[in-house]
Formats: sequence, C-alpha cells, structure tokens
Amino acid sequence: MAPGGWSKFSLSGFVLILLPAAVVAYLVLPPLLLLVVSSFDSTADQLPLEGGAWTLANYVLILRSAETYLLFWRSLAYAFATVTIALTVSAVLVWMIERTDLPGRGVVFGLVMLPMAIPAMAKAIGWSLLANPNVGLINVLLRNVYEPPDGFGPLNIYSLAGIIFVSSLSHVPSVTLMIAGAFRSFDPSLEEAGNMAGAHWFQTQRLISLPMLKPALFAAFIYYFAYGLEDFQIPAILGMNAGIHVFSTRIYLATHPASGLPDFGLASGYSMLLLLVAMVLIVAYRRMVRKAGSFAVVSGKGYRPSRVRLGGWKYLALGLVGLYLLLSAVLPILTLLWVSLQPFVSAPSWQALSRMSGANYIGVLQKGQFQTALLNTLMIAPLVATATMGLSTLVAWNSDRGRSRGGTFVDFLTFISMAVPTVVLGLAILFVYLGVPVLRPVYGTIWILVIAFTTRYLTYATRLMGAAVIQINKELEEAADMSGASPWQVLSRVTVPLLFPSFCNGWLWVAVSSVREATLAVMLQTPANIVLASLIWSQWQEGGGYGSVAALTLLTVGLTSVLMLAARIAFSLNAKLETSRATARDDATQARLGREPA
Amino acid sequence: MRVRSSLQHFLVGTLAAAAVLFTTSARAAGWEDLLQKLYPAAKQEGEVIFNTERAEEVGGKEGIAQFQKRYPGIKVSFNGLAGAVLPSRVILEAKTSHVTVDTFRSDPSRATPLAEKDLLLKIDPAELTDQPVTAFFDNRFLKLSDHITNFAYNTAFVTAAARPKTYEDLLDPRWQRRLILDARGGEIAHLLSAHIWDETKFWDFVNKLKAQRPIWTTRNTEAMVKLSSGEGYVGTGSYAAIEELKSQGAPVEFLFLSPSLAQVRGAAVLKQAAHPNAAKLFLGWLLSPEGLKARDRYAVSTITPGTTLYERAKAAGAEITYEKSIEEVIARDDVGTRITDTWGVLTGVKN
Repeated sequence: MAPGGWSKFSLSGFVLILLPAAVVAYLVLPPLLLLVVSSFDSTADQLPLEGGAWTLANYVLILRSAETYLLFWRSLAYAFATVTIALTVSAVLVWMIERTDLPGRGVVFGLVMLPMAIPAMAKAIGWSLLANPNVGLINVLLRNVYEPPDGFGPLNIYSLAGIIFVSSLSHVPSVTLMIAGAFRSFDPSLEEAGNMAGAHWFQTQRLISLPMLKPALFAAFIYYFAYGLEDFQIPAILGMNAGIHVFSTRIYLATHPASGLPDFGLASGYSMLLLLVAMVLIVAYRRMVRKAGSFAVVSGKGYRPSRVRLGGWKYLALGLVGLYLLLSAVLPILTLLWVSLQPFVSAPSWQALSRMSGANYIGVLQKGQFQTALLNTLMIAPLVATATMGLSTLVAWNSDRGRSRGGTFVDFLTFISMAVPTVVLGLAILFVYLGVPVLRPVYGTIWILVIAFTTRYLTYATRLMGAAVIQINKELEEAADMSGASPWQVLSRVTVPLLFPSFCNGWLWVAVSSVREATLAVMLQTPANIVLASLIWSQWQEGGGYGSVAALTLLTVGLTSVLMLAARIAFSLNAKLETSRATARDDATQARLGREPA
Repeated sequence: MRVRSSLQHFLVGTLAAAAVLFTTSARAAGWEDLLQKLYPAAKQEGEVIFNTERAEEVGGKEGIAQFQKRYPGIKVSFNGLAGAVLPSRVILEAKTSHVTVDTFRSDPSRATPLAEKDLLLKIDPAELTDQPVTAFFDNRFLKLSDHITNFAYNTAFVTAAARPKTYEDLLDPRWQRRLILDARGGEIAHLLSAHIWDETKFWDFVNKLKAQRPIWTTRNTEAMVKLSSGEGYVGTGSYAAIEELKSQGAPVEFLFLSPSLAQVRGAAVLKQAAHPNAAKLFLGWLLSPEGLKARDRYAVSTITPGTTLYERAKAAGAEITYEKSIEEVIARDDVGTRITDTWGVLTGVKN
C-alpha cells in the first residue's frame, strides 16, 4: 500500500509523511529564501537584510561581465569532466567488485572507500607537493628520465587538467557508494535472457544492464555535476593561485575579501545561476525516472547474482585497483606523512631524514582545542548520519511511492538545496539561530552543526536512497499490504531490510563527510563547538605550518578510518543477525505448516 | 682630603643608584598598578576569549602561562575565526547581544566595519599602560605590533651575494618562475600609497613582476611552504614566519628590501564582550613590557629598541616606513586592490 493511500492525519501519516516534509522545509527553505533575498540586496558594505533597498545591481554586474560566461562554461566543463571520469572509474571498480569473481572483493571494496577518509583539502595539498612543476616529487623523478626544455614539469598540477584529476579521484569513493547498491541488486536473469537471445556480452551490457542501472548512474551524475559546480576546496587550492577560476572560487572570493565585509549579495547572485542549473538537472532526472517500475530489479522472485569469471584478467583488475589506490590514497598520505614528520616542508634527503620527529603531532595533541574538537567530532558524526539518512529515506520513499505532489516537491527541495553555496548556507543558519529568540540556545553548540550538516548532506542521501527505492518493485510492499500488514510492518519488514545496504552506505558516507566538513564548521565555529575540520582549516589558513596541518589531517584520517571500519563491522553483524532471524522465522512458518525447514 | 673626596663620590654614587632604582621601580609599577586595578573585576569574570588564528601572536603557550601566573583565576581561551569571517560574525552576534568573542587581533582594515558600526569599546590607553600606544578609531583599536611583510629567499638556492637587494632586483630574469608573489600585492602596495614611487614607475614595476611568471599565492602559510621547499627561490613572507622557519632549521632568510612597510596589527575589545574587564586586562598585559617580551619570543612585537625585530632591522640597515593612521592603511588597501585587478589572478579569467 503506497504511503499516499494512508491518511495524512493518522499517526503513521504524520510520522512518515508530514513530519519529514516539515523538517525538510524547515532546514532548506530559510537558506533558499536568504539566497534569493540577498541576490536582490546591495551588500557591498553591509550584511543581507540590513535595510538596503531591493536592487538588480548584483545581476547587472554579473550578467554584464564577460568573465561570468567564461567562468560558467569553464565550471560546466570542469564539473562535467570531473563527474564523467569519477563515474567511469567508479563503475569499473564497482563492476569488478560486484559482478566478477575478483579475489578479495570485500577487502577491495573497503580499500576503494579508504580515500574517502582523506579531506579534499589534504589531497590537494598532497598533490601540489607531488606535482608542482618546479620541485614536485614526481616531476623531480621524471626529470631523471626526461628533461623538459624549460626545466619545469613535465607535470603541472596547477592546471585545469590537474584540478580535474584530483577532483575526480576525490569523488570516486562517494560515487562508488552511490551506485554500488544498484550493481549488487541487479537481477542477472535479465542478462541471461539477453545472452539466450544471442546477444554477446557488450551488447547485453549496452542494451540491458546499463539502461537498468540508469537511475543510479544518472542520480550519481547529476548529484556530482551539481556538486562540482559548488565545491571549491580543490579548485581553490590548486587553481585559484594560477588564475584558474570556477564559479565556486569566485563565490568564495566574494565572501572572503581582503578587507571589508563579505559581499553576500554578489555571492548569492552567482549562486542563483547555479540554482537554475540544479533545477534543470532535477527536472531531467525526474522525467527519466517517471517510469520507475521499469527500473525495479528487486522483486519477489529470488535470484542469485552471477559473477563473470575473470581468469587471467584478474591481475589486470587488481592492478587497476592498485593504481587507483596509489593515486587517490597512497601518494597523498605518504606525502602528508612526510610533511607531518618534518619541521618544515622540504624534499626527501638524508638531511631531511635526520630532522624527522613527532613534534608536530605532539604540538597538535597538546593544543587545548584538540580534545574539544575531537569529542565534538565524535559526537556530531553519528548524529548527523542518523538524522540525515532517516530523513532522506522517508523523503525518497514518499517521493517515489506517494500519490501526491507534496512528496515530489519535498524531494525537489532537498535537491536544489545543494545549489546554495556552503558559505551562504552558513550565513543563513547564523541568521536564523541568532535572529529567532527561541532558537538562540542552539547557537554556539554542536547542535547547530548537526542541523547545518544535515541540511548540507540531505541532497546526497536523498539521491542515494531515491535510487535504491526505485529499484524495489512495489509488488513486494503490495503483497505484504494485501496479506494484512500494517504500514509500519510493511515498512519495517519489507522495505527497510531491502533498503538497508544503501542506508548503511549512506550512513557511512554522511558520517565521514561530517568529519571532513570544514566550511560550515568554520562559519558556525565558537570555542564550544570547534571540530577537527575547523581546526585543520584554521591551521591551514594562517594558523601554522603545513606540518601541523598534515599531522592533524592524518590524525583525522585515522579517526575516520576507525569509524568506517567500526560502522562496516556493525552493519555486517546486523545484516547477519537479520538473516539468521529471517531464517528462523521461515523455519518456524514451515514447521507450522508441517513442512521441513528450507 | 682624599678620604672626603672618596666619601663624596660614594654618596653621589649611592644617591644616583637610588634615583635610578626609584624611577625604574616607579615605571615598572606604572603598568602593573594600572592592571592591578582591573584585576578584581577581571577575576570575577574568570575568562577572556581572544580571537586569533595563532596563539603565538599573543606570546604562545609561554606567554599565556606568564599572564595566568601573574593574574591567576583568569582563563585565556581562543577562538580561531579567520579575519575575513570575523567582522560579519561579530555584527550578526551583536544584533542579539550574544557575542562569543571578547577581543581580537587583526589589521585595522578588518576592524573598520566594526568601528563604523560602533561595536568596539573605547579604551583610554592610559588606563591600561604607561607605555606609548598608537591608537586608531578614537581609541577603539590599539596597536600591538609591527607586522613586517617583505621578501625572503631560500639560502640553499641563493647565496647572500646573489640575493635581491632592492625591489628592482626582483625583476632579474633568473627569478623567472622562481619568484613567489602574494596575489593581493600587500608587500609592495606601500611603494605607491606612501608616495615612495610615482604612478608610472610603480605600475611599470607591477606589470614587469607579472611578466616574471611568478608562483602566485594568497596566504602566508602557503608562501612559506613554497619558499622552504625550494619551489620558489625568492618570495613574499612575513618576518615572524621566516624567523619561525629559521628556528626550525629551514634554509630561509628575510630580506629587508627598503623601504619595508611595518603594517599595523592591533587589538580591540568588543562593546558587548561577555568579559570586558578580563579582555582589557589581557590587552593591557600584551601592551606591557612583559607582554611585549613574551610576544618578541615569536617575533610578533613592535620595532622598539630591545626587541629582536628592532635589532635585526638595524643590523640589516633597513629603512622602515610606518603606518600611523587609518587613512594610510586604507590607502594601502586601495592600492592592493588595484594591484590585484592588474595581475588578474584573483579576479577571474584574465590570466
């Protein structure tokens, strides 16, 4: 029974339909409204809503500038290239893990996720030390083999290609999480039918498998395309100083001027253009998944996923995994490790080896703020993950299963909230929680960060769960409903267990992202709610040398890795427990019917 | 006669010594007495929250310990909001009388929006210290230190003889693609704003610097990494950062290209601070000889006789130009903005 058939005024309807919608509206609408209002406000010397007259000056400035169009096309190109590469790499990796007999698949999956623990900023710093054209370590090694005519390079990380390279690698774990569930749940009988009809492997993949995976792939594409337009850490660190700007760095510069107040009006004007792009993307996405039933692959018919035998190709496959890990994790981490053990950044040498020490780590651990930051981070991550995934699951479910347009609208809200730049989101939250007296106690506490991060990650989580919900055939829920199950029973016994793998993946992603989230943490920072990410950011900005930044980053990576491992073990144990309970229930049912257990 | 002469000498000497001791102790008692008057109220507040991204700017761990030893019962906490974010945050918080920071350190231009909105506490420097103090915004922003940002070089790649000795030396072709430049232009803006060069010479220099295909940067931390790692041989850097790197063994040395600009760094107390007396006490201590000495340990002090910065500048024969008014600071900022636009690194796609 679809949720739209429940009375919205029943307890079930309230909890499952109205409450999530209200929460999403509460989280998303204030920043959106502030974005729109600020874009019509002249804020060069004042903050939004400080009494200035409505004006089109921001739009005139933006639309009249040739720079805007160049930035726009460059941003689109950057986002497109980044997501295309990330999606291709992720799809290959996920296919190898989920659809082949690759040895050590479980371990490989964990390793593919590992780079997610490394903050984007750290990857950018690591690669700037590895591949800057002057003394980048890789370039120094390559120049032993090939000497460029001008003595610099041959690689230059401070280029659009360099930025795309690092960004693409950075997105692979998250994209992998988003699409892994779809590959795992794929019914092989569809491919078998194609093979039996005479199609060879490539035809089957092109005509059957890829189309069925379209919602998941497209969800990942549009999310990371929109994300690429807004994300700025890697473009800022690698591109800004080379004069390679994208929209996000332009917005950042508007809100971080060398003097005076941030120009939120101008930043909001730019953001409105991103909002338009986000709206186009979501319309396209919703048109594509309108016929959701045709993408449902999880049905009442049992199946066992078949795996392609790799044979000798497994060595190539493992080599590809190794190459990915080398570029996305090993090299940046080793670079950070080297830097963290040095008093100042220098190339490896015997002299530098003699200078190695743990002084940076000791300095970090002795910082009075470190313990506060660590405790806050450990509290915030699971809270945000649970709140975000719970909310997004209900939103995605309502959107797909609901009969009213309300669910669709709420889903729409969760998506376009991503177009609100993080700095504007942070400002909006400051406005709300400072401006509304009853909400003021939240300001300055970790709860304001929980709220902010939940708002920020709602888009990803909803895309992830949306793709998972689409894949579940409604007949399963309808069968349970027709058997007399209550809405709660349908949800808890049928839908949630099927969504659980995607839920776990999303929970992990949100938790790790919360640990890494720096911009919002800095915008909302007070001494009481400082977290590891804001500590790293302030160290990097002006607070200290790269050594302490690297030490703090590696400590954070270690913490995140432990968190990821613990979560995966917990989810795995829970899945096994559920399986054994389900088996026990089935055996009991069979026994009552006088049959042998299956 | 000889005995009487010796006795006279003894008496004169004793009186002179006593006079010196008396005046010295009177001077020392000056700031101590002033701050002691603030102490009871400050102690009742129990804490001061100082906004800075680096504790070294206020004397580091040792300095804080010194302050807390002298004034027990007052905790010094830090909030590390970046300079670009601080003004808007304070303005927002002030609307609700819920300010989370008591006092902050910054350059005067960051404090300008707060001063214009009357959010800074007016303090009579004579209430805090008997030392001379430069004040801005009608005693709402007190100068703490002279922040010298100039150029430095990597001694592993550049000998002392080959180092740049003038600003024009930066245009030498051997620094092509090896020169680290702050894209905000802060290290050279004073050459025009302080009328050291004329417009023609200055903008010609700015354009030629760009032609050197420099390694651009926008933050001091990054510039120091690029210099110490050898990515650049010569580059922008602050004196304090270079001294810190040198103390760690990095092959870097500061250049006092003349005239060097001593930018003002100061502190202010917020009108709505939760701990205004503790904030004033801490500020007074930072301005005291003891506080200055603590900050001098990290090369974050004023260029006054006795400080390492003064000695270094003197040894280098440096010519220093000082900012004495907010108008001079604004003029420098304006030139910096024009430099940024000319270089086009931070303003989009011109580069």
